[in-house]
Amino acid sequence: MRIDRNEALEVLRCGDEVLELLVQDGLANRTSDGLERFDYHDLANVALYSGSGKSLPEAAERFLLRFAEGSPSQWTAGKRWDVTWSLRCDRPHCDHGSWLISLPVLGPRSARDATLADADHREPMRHEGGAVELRFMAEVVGSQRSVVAAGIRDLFTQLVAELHTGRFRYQWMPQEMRADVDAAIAHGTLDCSAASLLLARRCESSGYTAHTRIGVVLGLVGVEHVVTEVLDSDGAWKTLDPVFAFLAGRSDRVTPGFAEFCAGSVGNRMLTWGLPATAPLAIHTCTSPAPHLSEITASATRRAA
Amino acid sequence: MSIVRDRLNEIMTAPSLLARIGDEEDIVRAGVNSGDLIRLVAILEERYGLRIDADDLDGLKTLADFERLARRQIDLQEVNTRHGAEERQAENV
Repeated sequence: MRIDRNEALEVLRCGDEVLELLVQDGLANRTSDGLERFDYHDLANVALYSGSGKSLPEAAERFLLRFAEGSPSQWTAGKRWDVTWSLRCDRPHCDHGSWLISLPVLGPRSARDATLADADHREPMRHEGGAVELRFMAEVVGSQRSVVAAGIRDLFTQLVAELHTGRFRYQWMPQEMRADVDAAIAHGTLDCSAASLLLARRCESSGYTAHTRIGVVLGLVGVEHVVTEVLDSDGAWKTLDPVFAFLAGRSDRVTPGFAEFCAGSVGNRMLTWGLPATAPLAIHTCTSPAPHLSEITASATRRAA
Repeated sequence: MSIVRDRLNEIMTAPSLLARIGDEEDIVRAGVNSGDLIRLVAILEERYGLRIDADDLDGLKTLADFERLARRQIDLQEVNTRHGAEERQAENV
């Protein structure tokens, strides 16, 4: 996604002179229709590692991890979410075509539900038109669990360490790169999707049964997220979230213990689909398969015991 | 005076939209984008010293929700400041 200079300044929240210095130092840009344009993900990643504390991506990361500043009971207590999912075609004024929309798991998931085979296998919903808004309620209950198998724990710890040491650099990545784990490894960059795919691959190579699962971290601003699920030696499926564990490690506001929570536990904020990292939540077809905008927002009340 | 409207007016890329949003209207459905919401929370914390945790955010849907949260915390800050001053005065007596 390319954005113009004014939009770039909105993302970085810096002065024009700073952006000019970044361009002189190699920040890629291109002129199109007489306008200077920047790649959105380039800017976001510059911002994430700028240390300015003012940029929109840094604020977004703090916003996303705000729940991790609470207590462990707040990470697992049942929540009832009112969810609004808006989908619209990226082509301006598109008012035709069709949607194929995969539905999330709406009811409380037990520890034994964490397999794709057991997941909600309702048929995708079909809808005609350029835009659609779905509103539904979802109950999410978390569970604090630990990984038993030392081999699984070592693989999780290793990947989180690789993110901290810079063997892999955590970055925001465009949709088309997120599922290409080999390209991500070659570039030395991982987001949640590539990291979870890599962890699942390593678990499988070590003899464990594992897969990725896609979902959305619910809140006023919903964020698509991917985790790894692995069958532990105690017969239970455990959720591994290497990216949240890494992000927790570089925040001075996140509660100690949250990184450990990410090794095995299920949180109460992630609405999941019975789909892996590589699967789209929705497909829109108008003149041809079309990119679309997807926004999920949710408000929560505490679930009755 | 609305703290939240004033701050959003500074932030929003389309401030004319703000005038059309009612106090009790769902702000996301009314068109306020995620970037503006993220910046609003950051500004409320930085400029007013508010502490907005995730559970607070979960219950916010409207400008009125944000305003009530902000006012509640600002009022509490003022009470705590007055209480602290009174205690110090009492110690000095």
